[in-house]
Amino acid sequence: MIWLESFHKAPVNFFKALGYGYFLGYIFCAFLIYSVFSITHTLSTNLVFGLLIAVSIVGLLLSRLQLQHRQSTTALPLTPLSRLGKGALLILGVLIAAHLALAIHEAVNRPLLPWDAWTTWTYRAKIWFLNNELSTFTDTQTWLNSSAKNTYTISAHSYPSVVSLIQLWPVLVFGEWKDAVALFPGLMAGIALCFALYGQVKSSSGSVLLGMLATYLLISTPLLDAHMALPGYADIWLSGFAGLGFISLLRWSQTHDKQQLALGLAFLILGVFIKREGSVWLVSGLLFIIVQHLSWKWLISLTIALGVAVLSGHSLLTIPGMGAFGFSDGVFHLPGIGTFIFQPRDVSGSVINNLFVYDNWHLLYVYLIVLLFASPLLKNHLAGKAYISFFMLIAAVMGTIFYLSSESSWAQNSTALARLLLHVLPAWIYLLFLGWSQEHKQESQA
Amino acid sequence: MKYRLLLSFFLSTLSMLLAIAAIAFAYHSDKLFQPVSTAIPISSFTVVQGSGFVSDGSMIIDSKSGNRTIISNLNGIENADNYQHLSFDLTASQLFDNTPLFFWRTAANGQIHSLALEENPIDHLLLADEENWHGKISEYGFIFTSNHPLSWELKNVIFSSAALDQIMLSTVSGWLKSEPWSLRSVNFISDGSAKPLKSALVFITIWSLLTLLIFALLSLLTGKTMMAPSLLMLFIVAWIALDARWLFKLFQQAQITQNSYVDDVSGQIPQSETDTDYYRFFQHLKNKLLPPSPQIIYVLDTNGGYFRAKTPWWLAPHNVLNIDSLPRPEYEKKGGYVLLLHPIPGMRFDQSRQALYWGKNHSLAVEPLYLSPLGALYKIKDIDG
Repeated sequence: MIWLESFHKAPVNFFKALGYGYFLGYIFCAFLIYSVFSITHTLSTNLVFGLLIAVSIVGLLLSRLQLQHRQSTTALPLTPLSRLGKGALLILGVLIAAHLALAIHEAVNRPLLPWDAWTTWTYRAKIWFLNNELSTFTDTQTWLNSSAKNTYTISAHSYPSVVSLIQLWPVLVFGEWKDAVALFPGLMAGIALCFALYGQVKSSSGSVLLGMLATYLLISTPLLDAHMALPGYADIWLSGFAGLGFISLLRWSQTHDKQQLALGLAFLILGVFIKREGSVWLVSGLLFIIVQHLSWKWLISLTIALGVAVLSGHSLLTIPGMGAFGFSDGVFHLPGIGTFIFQPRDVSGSVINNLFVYDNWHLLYVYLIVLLFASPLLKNHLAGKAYISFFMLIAAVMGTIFYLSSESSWAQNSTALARLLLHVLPAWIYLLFLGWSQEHKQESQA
Repeated sequence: MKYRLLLSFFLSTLSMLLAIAAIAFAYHSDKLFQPVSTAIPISSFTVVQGSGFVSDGSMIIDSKSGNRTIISNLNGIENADNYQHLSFDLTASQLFDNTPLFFWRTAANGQIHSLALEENPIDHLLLADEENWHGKISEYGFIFTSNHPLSWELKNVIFSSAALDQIMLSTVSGWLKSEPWSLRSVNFISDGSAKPLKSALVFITIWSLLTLLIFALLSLLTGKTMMAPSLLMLFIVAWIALDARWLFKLFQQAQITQNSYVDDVSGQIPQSETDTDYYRFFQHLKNKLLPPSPQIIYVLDTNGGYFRAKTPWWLAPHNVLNIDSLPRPEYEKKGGYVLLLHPIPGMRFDQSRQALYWGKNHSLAVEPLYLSPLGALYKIKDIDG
C-alpha cells in the first residue's frame, strides 16, 4: 500500500495505507495459506511467514526507491485548529478510545457468539486447525456417499473460505485453539476500518478534526460495535472490502484520481472472495462508475430503457467469469449469489425499524436522508451527483433483494437487512463528509 | 450564531417536554397530577424459598449458586388499577446476565404472572402495560435465581399511580435498560423500548429535526445564514446524546463479561451460562467415550434449535451431521455414532436386540455407550458384525 501511495503526488497517507493494507495483507495471507497447502499438503506457518516477510521486504524496497525518485509532493494544507477545535479533538479521542477499549474487552474475554460463527466461519477454522489440514466441506448427500474421513458437511459449505483462513492464521501461529485468538483479526479489522476512513477523510478535507469526527461516527455505530465485540462473522471483512472500495470510488468521483479508482475496483473485486454478497457490491460499484460518466439525460434515458427491458423480458445479461445478471421469467439472477424468485412483499415496517427505530446506526440514516434532500442545493455538483447516484444504487440493491424477491423474509425477521448495510457503512459515513468538507471550503472562500 | 443554536436547542427541548406532558395528560388525565402512592414495609415480605433476612429496613437475599430465593407479600393489593407503578431499590453484589423476576397472583383466578426486572440504575416497573395487572392482587413478590453466588439488597418498595413523572421515568428507564449480547446482536441492536414511539432514537430524531427547523426559522427571521459548522454541531450533539446511552450499555455489558468470564475462577462455568451443562456433556463424550481421531457422528433431534446447531462446534474435530431427526439408510454403510439429544417420537432402543427402531420396522443395529438427561450416544455396529 505504501508503494502504491508513493506513486501519488500527495505525501504518503500512512493511515490510509495502514487501513487498506490490513485488509489487503490478510486476504493475501489467506491466499498464501491455501496455495502453500495446495502444493505441500501441509499447514506450514514457516513457509507462509517467509513468503509474507519476502513480499513485505520487496514492498518496502520498492516504496523506498519510488519515494526517493519522485518529485516534490503537493498536499492539501491542514486546517489549523482553534482552542475549541483542539478541545473537540480531545473529546473525540476519548470517545473513540472508550469504544475501542470496550470492544477489545468483549472480543478478548467472551466465548464465541453466535450462529454463523460457530456453524461456518470459525467452525471451519477450528476443524482445519484441529486436523492440521484444510479439510473439505461439502453438501450432505455428497458427504453421506463419501468414505473420506476428512470431508465434512455444513449447510453453508459453498461460502467462500477466505474468512475462515484468516481466522485460522493466528491460531496456527499461536499453536493452540483459543476462540479469542481466532477472532482477533476480526476485531482488528474494525480498527483498520477506522484508520482507513480517517486517512481518506483527512486527506480529502485537509482537516484532522473532520477525520477524527468521521472515525468517531464509524466506531460509535452500534452495529459495528457489536461486530467488533463479537467478531466471528464475515460482515466486518466485507465492510472493509466493499466499504473501503466504495470510499475510493466516491473519492475518485470527485478528484478523478486513477489510483483511487484502481484501489476501489480492486477492493470490490476482492470482496467477492469474502462473502457472496461481494458480487452484488462489485456490480453496484461498476454501475456507480458508469453513472459518474453519464449526464442526467443519459441516466434518465437508460433508466427508462432498463424499465422497458425488464417489463418486456429482455433484461438478462451474461457477464463473463461471473454469470447471469438481470431479470427473466420471474427470476432475478445475481452473479455469485444465485437466483431469487420475484415475490414482491411490503417490508417497509422492518426497514423503518432497522433504520430509524432500532439503534443500529444512531442517527446515520436520518442524516443521510437530510443530505439527500439537500444535495441538489450543493454548489459542488460532482458531490451532489455522487450522493444521489450512490444512494439510489444502494436503495435499488436493497429494494430488489428485500421488496421484490423471495429473500424478503430476511428483512421481516431483521436477520440480514442491517448486516447487508453494514458492508457499506464506511462509505455512508464518508458520504457525510464528501460534499460537506468541500462545500465548507467553498463557503469559506466565498 | 452560537446563541441562535443554543436558543434552538432550548426551544426544541421545551417543545418536546410540553408535547410529552400533553400526550400523557390526554391518556392519564385523571391521575396524572394527583399521584397516589403507598410504601410497602419490607417486613411484610416473607421468604418462601431460599434464604433471606430483614436488616435495617432492607431485605437481604443471599443466593447460592444454582439456588432460587422467593420472597412474597401475602397482603396483596386491593385495586391494582390504582397502583400501576412500582419503584424499588434493588442492588446486586455483582452484575451478571440474569435479572430477578417480579411476580403477582391475581385473586380472581389464582394465576401467577411474572415480569423480568430491567437491569438499569432506575429500578421500577410500569405495570400499566401489563394486561394481567388488574383488580385484586392476592400476592406479589420477587424471584431471585443465579448460577453465581450473589446477594441482593431490596428496600424502598413503593406502589404508586402512573403519574407524569413515572411515565417519563419508565420511558427513560427503558432507554437505559441493560441489553446483554445475544444471538441477535449481530443482526440488530434493539432499542430496549417495547413501543417504537418510546424509542430513544425516535425521540432524539424528532428533537434534532425540531432543533434544525427552529434554527432555520430563527436564521430566516434574523436574516442570517445557517453556517455549516453550526449544523454540524447540532448533529454531533444529537449523536453524542445517543452514544452516551450506548456507551453506558456497553459498560454494563463489559461488567457482565468481566463477572461471568474473567473473574469467575471456579472453572465451573467455562463458557456461556446457557451452555454449561451441555459443554460438560460434550466434553465427557469427547474425552471419555469417543476415540481421539475424528469420528462420524450423526446428531438426531426433533428440536431445530441452539444445541443441535452447536453440537459440531463442541464435538470438533469429530465429523458431525446434525440435520436429521431419523436415521438415513446411508448411516449403516458409512458407520459411526448416533447421538440423540432429545427423545424422538416413535423411536426406541430395543435392549434385547441392541438396535434402534422407528417407523414401520426401520432399524439400525447399535451399541449403547452413554445415557444422560442431555443425550444418548450409540455406536453403529459394523454391517459384518
